[in-house]
Amino acid sequence: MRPMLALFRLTVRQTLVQRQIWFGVLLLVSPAAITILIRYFGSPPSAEAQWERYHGPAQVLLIDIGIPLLCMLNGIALIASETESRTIIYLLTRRMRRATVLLVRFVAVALVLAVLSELSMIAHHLCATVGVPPPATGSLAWRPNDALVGYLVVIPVAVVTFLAVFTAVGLILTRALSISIIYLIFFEMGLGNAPITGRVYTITHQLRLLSVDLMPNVKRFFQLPPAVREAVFPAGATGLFALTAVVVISLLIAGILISVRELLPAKTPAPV
Amino acid sequence: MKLLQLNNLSKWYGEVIGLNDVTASVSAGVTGLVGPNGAGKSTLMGLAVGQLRPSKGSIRVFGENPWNNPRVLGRVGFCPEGDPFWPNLTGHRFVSTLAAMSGLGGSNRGEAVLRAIDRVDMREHMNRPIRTYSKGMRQRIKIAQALVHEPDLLVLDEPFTGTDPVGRHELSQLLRSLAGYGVSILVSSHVLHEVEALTKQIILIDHGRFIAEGSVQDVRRRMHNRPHTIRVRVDHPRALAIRLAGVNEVGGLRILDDQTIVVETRTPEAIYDRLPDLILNNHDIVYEVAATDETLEALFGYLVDRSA
Repeated sequence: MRPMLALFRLTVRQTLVQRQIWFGVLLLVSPAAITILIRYFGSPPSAEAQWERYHGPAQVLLIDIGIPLLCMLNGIALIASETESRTIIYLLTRRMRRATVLLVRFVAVALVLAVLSELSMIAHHLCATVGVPPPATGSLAWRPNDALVGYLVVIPVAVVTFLAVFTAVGLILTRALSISIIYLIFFEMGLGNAPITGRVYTITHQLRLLSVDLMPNVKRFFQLPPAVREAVFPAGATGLFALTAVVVISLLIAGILISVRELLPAKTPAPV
Repeated sequence: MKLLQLNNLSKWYGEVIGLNDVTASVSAGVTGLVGPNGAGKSTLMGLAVGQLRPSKGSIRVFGENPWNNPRVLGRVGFCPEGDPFWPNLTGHRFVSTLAAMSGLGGSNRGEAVLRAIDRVDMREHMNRPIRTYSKGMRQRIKIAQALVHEPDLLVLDEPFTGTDPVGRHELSQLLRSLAGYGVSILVSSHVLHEVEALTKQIILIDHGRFIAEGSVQDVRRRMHNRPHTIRVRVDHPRALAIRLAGVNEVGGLRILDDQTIVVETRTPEAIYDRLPDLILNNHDIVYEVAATDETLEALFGYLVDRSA
């Protein structure tokens, strides 16, 4: 347990001092910043627009763009950054199995990114709701506190899922960054938002399904045609089920790869 | 038990070869791994500390496969080549973190960390970030992390690189003292005299093959096809050369300058037996008698020439 705790602390520390974390922080404060701009420069919203102003920045900037980008940068670098600097040697010559090293680093980075994203969501929530009159009551009415709780559950799930996928991608592919950008743009942002059945295979869409499950009063904004949803998921299946499967499979692949693959960059041996 | 056992061990990197069908064993003690750049030293060390997997054959450390094996890795300390660091960490935190990752905890860890840092004489600088360290300091703090958990086997890849002569001397002394405590050490270098000063037990490696093993003298003795050379510095080399010419065991003579004569022979012991009489009969003053080709450098030159 002690080696794992030491690696956990080291990883948290390294994640917080790396340069790309500032890019992440900028990305994560954008929902709150945009909400402030809209509140001060936009016209007073209708009851429905009030919800859209709350949901728009949170869903699009945070869950659709911010978290995937941040997870892409950190997931690909989870092992690659240590391999590039050759510090991986120190981690893999200690009393830990390789898969344990991967898992501990994954948990540490996921925790850092989840906490930052949750703080970003809370900041956005405060910017969107403080000083705003409470919305009208009714079964489908927007209840900001329920929405916040929903998002605070969806956000760590999004972080863990995207981070797991990009951790596996970082170990599978040599050109992980360029392929991951293509994947994010065309698959998650493109297909994930397209009104076609294929979008159920994207993480973005599964996160939306989870949001819908967690925030039933906003179903009217996200609900798929029941026939489509029923065709893809058996009764009772939720976004959480699919997302858990994605995480488990991704980490399993990453764990197997790190256990069998050499990560020490080759030097320059003599030619045959 | 043998420290390392290599059975038909080969390692390829695509079309280039790292190690080529090596079968050998390394016993406890200090062993020097010597060879030019690209000879396969780092490959062997990478295999020994479970960072590389054999392409063919097997390697055993303490009788077990080191790959992904915490039991073996817990008994090994590795000092890698180059500058792999988390530069924002202080030297103390670097060693302390890796000590914790080796399973040390509580006050034991604090004591072990300070002991390791003291051993490499870095106490004064331990609270500075590693990015401010000189090359020699980095080398020393790397060694501290390798020995903090008191391993049974210390694997040091080019530990002398970047150290100044004083640092090199201190490092040699440190390694000798560790060996005195029963720690086995596998140390690589392409600078021969550094290894020679540290141990007589060497492995010469070139093009992925072990070209010789044993003590420098043993290996030299086994090279019958090469005459030994003995350098003698006296006041009157020509007079001595005339006397030496009458000795059967002398294969060749060269007078290098007005004080130095080089004797070639296949039986150096016979020459060493005869030399005192010859010199005394000549009433000469002797400044030096030295075997010039029993150094690691000379030996390596012969062997690499032959293997090429």
